[in-house]
Amino acid sequence: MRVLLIEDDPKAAANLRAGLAPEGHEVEVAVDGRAGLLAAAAGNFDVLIIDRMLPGLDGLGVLRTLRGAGVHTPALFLTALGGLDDRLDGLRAGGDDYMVKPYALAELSARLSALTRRARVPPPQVKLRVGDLELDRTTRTVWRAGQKIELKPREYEVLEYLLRHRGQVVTKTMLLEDVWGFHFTPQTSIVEAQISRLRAKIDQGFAAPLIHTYRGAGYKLDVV
Amino acid sequence: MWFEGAARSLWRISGFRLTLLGVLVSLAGALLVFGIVHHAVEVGWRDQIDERVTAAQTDILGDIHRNHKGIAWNVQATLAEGSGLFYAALAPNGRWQAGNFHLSSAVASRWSGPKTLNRQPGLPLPPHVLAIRGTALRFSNGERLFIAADASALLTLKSLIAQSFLAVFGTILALGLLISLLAARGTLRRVDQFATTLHDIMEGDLSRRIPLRSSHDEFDRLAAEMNQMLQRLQELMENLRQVTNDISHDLRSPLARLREHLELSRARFTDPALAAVCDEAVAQLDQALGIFAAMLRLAEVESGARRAHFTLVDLSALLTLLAESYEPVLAEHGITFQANIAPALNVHGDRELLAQLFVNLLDNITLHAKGAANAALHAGMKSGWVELCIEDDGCGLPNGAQGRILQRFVRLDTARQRPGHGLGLPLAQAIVALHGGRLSLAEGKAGLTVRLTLPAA
Repeated sequence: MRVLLIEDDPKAAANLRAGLAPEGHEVEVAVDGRAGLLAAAAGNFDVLIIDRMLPGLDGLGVLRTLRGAGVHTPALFLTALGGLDDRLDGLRAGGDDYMVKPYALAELSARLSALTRRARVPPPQVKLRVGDLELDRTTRTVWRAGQKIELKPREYEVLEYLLRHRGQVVTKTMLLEDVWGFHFTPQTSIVEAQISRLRAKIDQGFAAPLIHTYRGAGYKLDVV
Repeated sequence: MWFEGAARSLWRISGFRLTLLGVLVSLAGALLVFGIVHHAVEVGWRDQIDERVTAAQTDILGDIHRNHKGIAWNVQATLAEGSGLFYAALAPNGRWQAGNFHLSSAVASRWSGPKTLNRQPGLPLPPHVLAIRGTALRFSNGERLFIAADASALLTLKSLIAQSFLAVFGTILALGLLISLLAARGTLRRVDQFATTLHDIMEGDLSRRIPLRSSHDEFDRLAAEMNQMLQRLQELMENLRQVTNDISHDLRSPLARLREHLELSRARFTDPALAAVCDEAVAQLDQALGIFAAMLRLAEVESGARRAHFTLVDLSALLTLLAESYEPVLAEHGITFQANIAPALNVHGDRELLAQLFVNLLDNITLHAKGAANAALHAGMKSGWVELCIEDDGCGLPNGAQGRILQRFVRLDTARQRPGHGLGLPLAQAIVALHGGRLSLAEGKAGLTVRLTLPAA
């Protein structure tokens, strides 16, 4: 994956480059807004990572200009500005995702994959499948190996989200943000609790588990 | 009644009270002046009439002495000369003998010294005469002579004075009330301007100022002083915001880099012991960053600026979501959780902050309610307010801790071994206050009960 990082802090840029290298991502760095704007408009990148506080043209301005010019490369803001309004500003400027520093590498990596896949994958169909598990979005019913599984509303939402990101690592924060709509981290592990309930319903008693835990990163729904 | 209410609220305005007091004092003054005038006029006229009557009395008594022709004859003689006065001579038995007016014996018996008599039964008077004033003379043979003058003018004058007094009184009262009302309205307008501006500022719009008039009156002086204070306040808040932003950038960035280094290093360690150390360090760092995020969030909430972005929040849906999310976690802790949420509870607010509020309160149960077996969430409507109650039957709070636990960084677990940073409840309270509600802690039969009210949308 080709990543353009627009970040004025060289140390932070170096760390991010080093962190994403093992995943096979190629990171190019632009050190200010203007350079970032030119690189993003000219180069062929899969995803943009933009810091908000940049010398000269700030991150919001960069993305707004790019979107105005018809550049639709998925963009993720990675910034120290974590206020409630800051996030809204970022999304309004055309950002596809917003992460507040400090970040966990696994989180960033998962989100970058989700972003680039979202750009490629067509909108989800009525029926989502993985292995012998099937979910019908119109009737909100779930079947595994021909057996109907009763899910509570939140369990269903989590499963649908995992299915839409099947084969991808989904982090707890992604679930909290996208399924719960919370942009903060509760001290209680409410995501884990839903996952374990979901596991008990769709994996227990079946030959191969579908929900896999990636320690320190998140969950993946897939046939191994 | 609305009238009473309006009168009472009008009375509370000092301008109205002052002006009304002034009006009452001027009315008292007018009353005094009119009293004096009335008295002077009455006395002057009475004396004049009494003098005429006395003169006529002296004349007729002199005549009677000189000619010895009796009272009746002399009365007729005087009338024949045409004196312009009223005469009546009564025989000892009360029979009318002579004169130009009649009076009943009842009226006669009540008439002794100088007296003013209005037209009345038993005292027929010519049509143009409204009252007479005169005196009675009793002779040694029992005959009585009444001499009186027309006192209509006195009566007319008195009623004229009374009428003009009433007119002046009424005018002063009406004008006074009008001026009082105008003064009250003026004062009220200014005070309302103050109040709306201050309210807007409390709602989060710090740029508002109290409008000045060029009158340089006491309100303007007060407004100018307050505006200066607000300016200072805004600068201080701006500084605070700046500091907060600086902290979030200058302090968070190095911490973020530290975390990045730790993560990068961990990937290179093959020794599990070293990896564990790294994981522990990252966990500690995340804890510190968590406190940091909570502090920034608290500052953000307390600034009140979020009010500008309030929307309609479906509280029933949010609470249902939270109940559904916490039920399995609490079950893992061995706590049976019951939620009783009324439908269609809506508030005007910030969904994210409201979610954080309830998450903090529910987190407290999983983290701190030692020995709890049951927990419950109730939400309903009561006279325009959404009432919520989150309770558990755990260990509760030690005595006297209710007030302290709402302060920042206060942790009752003095050894600080359990998780938490002492900002959960202060943040919850700040969020409730931002939404115009109230939060209180109460000990239930066992455990802790958190009650809160939010204004319904």
